[in-house]
Amino acid sequence: MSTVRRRAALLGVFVAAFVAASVASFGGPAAVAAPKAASATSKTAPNAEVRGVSVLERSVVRLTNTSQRADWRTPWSSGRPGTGTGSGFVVEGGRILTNAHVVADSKNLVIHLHGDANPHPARIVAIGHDCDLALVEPVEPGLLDGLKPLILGEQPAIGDEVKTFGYPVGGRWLSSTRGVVSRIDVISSVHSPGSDHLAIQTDAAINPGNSGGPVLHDGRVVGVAFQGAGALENVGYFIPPLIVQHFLDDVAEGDGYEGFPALDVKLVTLDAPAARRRAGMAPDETGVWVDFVHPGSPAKGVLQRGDVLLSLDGEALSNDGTFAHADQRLQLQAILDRFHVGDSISARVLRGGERLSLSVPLARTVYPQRPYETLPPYLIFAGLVFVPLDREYWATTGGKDSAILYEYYYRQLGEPEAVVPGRVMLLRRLEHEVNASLPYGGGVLLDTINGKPIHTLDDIWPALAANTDQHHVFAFLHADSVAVLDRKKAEAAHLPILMQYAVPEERRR
Amino acid sequence: MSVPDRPARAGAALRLALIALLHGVAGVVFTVALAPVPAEARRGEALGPSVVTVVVTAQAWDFGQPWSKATPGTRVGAGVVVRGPNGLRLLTSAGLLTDATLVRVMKNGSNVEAIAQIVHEDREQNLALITVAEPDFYDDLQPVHFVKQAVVDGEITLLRWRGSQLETAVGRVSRPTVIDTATGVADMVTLRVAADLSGGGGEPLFRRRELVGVAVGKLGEELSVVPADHLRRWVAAAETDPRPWTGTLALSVQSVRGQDMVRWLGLEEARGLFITRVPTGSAACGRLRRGDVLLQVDGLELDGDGNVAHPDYGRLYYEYLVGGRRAGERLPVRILREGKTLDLEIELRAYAGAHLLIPSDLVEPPAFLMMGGLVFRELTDGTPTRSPEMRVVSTLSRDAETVDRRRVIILSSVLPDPYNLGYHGEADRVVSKVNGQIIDSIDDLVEAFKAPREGFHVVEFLPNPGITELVLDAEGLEAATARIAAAYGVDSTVRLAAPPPPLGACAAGG
Repeated sequence: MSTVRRRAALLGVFVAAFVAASVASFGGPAAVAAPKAASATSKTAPNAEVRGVSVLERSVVRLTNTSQRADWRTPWSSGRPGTGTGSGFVVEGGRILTNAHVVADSKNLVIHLHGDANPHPARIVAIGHDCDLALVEPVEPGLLDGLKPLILGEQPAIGDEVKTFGYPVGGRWLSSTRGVVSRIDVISSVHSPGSDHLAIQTDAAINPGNSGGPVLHDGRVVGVAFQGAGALENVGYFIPPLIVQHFLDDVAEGDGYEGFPALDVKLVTLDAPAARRRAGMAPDETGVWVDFVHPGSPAKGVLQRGDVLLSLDGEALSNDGTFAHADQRLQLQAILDRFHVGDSISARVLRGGERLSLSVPLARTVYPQRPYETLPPYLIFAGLVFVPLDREYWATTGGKDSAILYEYYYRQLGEPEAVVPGRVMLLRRLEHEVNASLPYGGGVLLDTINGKPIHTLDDIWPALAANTDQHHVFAFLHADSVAVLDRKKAEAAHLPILMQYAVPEERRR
Repeated sequence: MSVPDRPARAGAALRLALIALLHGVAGVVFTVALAPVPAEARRGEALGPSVVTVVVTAQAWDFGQPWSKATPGTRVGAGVVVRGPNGLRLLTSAGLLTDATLVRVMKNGSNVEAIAQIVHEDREQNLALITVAEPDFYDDLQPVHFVKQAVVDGEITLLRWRGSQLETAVGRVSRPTVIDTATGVADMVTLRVAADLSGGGGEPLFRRRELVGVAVGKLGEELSVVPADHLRRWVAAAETDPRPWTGTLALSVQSVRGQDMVRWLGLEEARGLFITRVPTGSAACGRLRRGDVLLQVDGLELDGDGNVAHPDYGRLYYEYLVGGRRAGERLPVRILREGKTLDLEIELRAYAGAHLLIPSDLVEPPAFLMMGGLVFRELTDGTPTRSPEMRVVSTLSRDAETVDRRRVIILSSVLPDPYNLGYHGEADRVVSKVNGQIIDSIDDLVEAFKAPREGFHVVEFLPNPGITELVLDAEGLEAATARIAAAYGVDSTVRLAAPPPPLGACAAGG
């Protein structure tokens, strides 16, 4: 019996793109392969595929992204720029579809067309971190005019032969690999841990640099290559048409990218016959047990702990949280992938002996997602760097500290009725004579400042400003010691510390 | 006992060393790198009749299958002949005797083994007395003399038998220090002795034919040696004084450092310990409280790290003054509270590993219950904490410690059977309730399973990423338990634990 809503657990998975651009740096006359005119494109397959370089292959491009990602351990600095490459392909509307992780945190983006030695500046149109897809377009109008947009096909079946195209490491020009559809399953995203969607596994080689490239079957795009599995051999994953279309539809709707919806309900399996009988299920009924409804979820008030979820969107759920799809079973997240934020999903629920038909509103997840294109928030006072205990800052602690793990994850499970207020962590100390004798250098959670409870960075200044005593007193959660600073000395040292440690501003929201 | 910024907790290292020692494979032999023998060590010959070899066959409990024991093994250590109030005894380390099934003693280089009995085993102090009942056993043995002047530095000689020869090795006292005792709760004074040898199994160390101490453990590369003055007192009282050792005040404290802290506390200079927490069950509960500054203990001034002047050993952490006393004794303390100096007397009481929510008692057989294939047991300090919620519970156990909540019960594993279908992979979940009843002991579990609700047994767990309820049919539980016990060779399905020692009421007023 296992949790249906697994948290990111795919060990050893690597992000397929984003390799240092060691191959992109040599200049000189490149041996430009003269684009052969594709011989008579087949009438049946819109993305004609022939030996050699076809019309289709010319639509596969290489992207070079210079990204800058802050280091959450030193949140005041903007981070070190780095350059990586990935793949992409031309779609309708003069745009290029690629992976979000290829173009994330972008400061400068360049397209390299097949057989064209000149780089072309590009910009991001839309980016969906939750499904690891992005749309980019060249700055120069008409650049893609001669290139044929690739057409999205149907989801392939297990055993179907597929071909990948892209620009993996090991060379500069287009590469193609061949394999079959090995498996269709819901898997965790490396780019957005906790965001699980339907994906297709193949034995066609998908290597760093392949990310964002098309996977083809019968001349149509049946997926976008996006990640591999580091410890496994001959395992690569691509994003299936359902997810790609969802992303494209979302973008086409306008008003920015909304993303995939979530239930934010913890469901557990009902593999045990005794548990099903106690839940009042008929012998032929199957379903999963609602263990926890996040208080911030729109499902709160609709679903409740103890419900048995019998079906979603008309799909009967089995006791392990899967449903029948073609000739196999898929995890129920794949049902949610059919819906958009703002939709409602129909659910049949067994509650207190009654079978109810409910409509559950869907929204974006309230669980914190890995942030991109943002700089980390912080507040520094007298060299003490305070940060919210969010996903990224939790990650800086290594996840090992049990008190922090409790506050970050377990506490909300223990208080199912209330949205649990946030916590502020002392991330580190910029050491200075005024703070050098404090008992903690970082990695502890604030409880109070001068007796006032602290839940967000916004609580800090008022708690300091209201104090007229000689000392500021900081108390910490699950740690007994207190930290005492002389108020006037701390305030006098505040700016000099920022200057000494080259911190541009005392606070970022 | 817990100064947050004290250097690495010696106790933890000692415990690790002990665990390594206790779980050692069969036939562990303590090897000695022989150093050039100094002249004084040659006199060791005369001490031969004071030193014995102790061979212990030991078998630990298997915490994964708590009804059975793990593979037995043999440990070899040493003992030293002492004169106690009831006659001659052999003094050794309690750790050597852990899980002993048979204790044998050899003397004077002979290979004749005598069967020994354990007279007194003190896991808190990590010392034990054993003896041999044969009437003439001690005839060719000599009790040692304890050194009169405390040894704080210089060379000392470790002695033990290797076959027919007496083996000597030279150690150097690096410093006296206060460490956690074997169960990690109380503090005691030990000598750290640098020596290029394995040991810590009760080997005696001498200077000029007088006993300087007994090695009871290893800390990194150094031996942990209980010094003679403590040994003398311990031997004198072990068999005659039934009063438990105090152990500790179990205070959480913070060093007084930095001018801001000093002024905030209303002190003129950095001294004393800022008390941050007084747990239920501590002798100081109700007398001392958070915010007090502990200035003096037993008339000795505490510095800003809590050290006091020891008459022999220089400055040492004050808790040794507490750990070496008996329950019922009164300990004078001076504190600063709200700007005023107060003198108090605290009546000491026992506070040991068994008082903790997650007991650090490494020897009692694990309490457990096997019911319908579900294996429940107490969470103890020696339990590997594999699941995150077990780690969380362990870390936050101090916060959860109350008079009502004394133990943590876990579902350790499931023995798969059709009866418990659906739960075969469950393990390491922390139990909160069974059939609506709060679970604080194996006894509670036994009672709760007598009262199913509407035909089901419902086990509830603390919040965790997996299941939080486990349901079994009430009908068929007994039959399933019997069938599973027979199939998996579970010869006993329950072992109850002794109730935890009472935490004791907090003194009123304070």
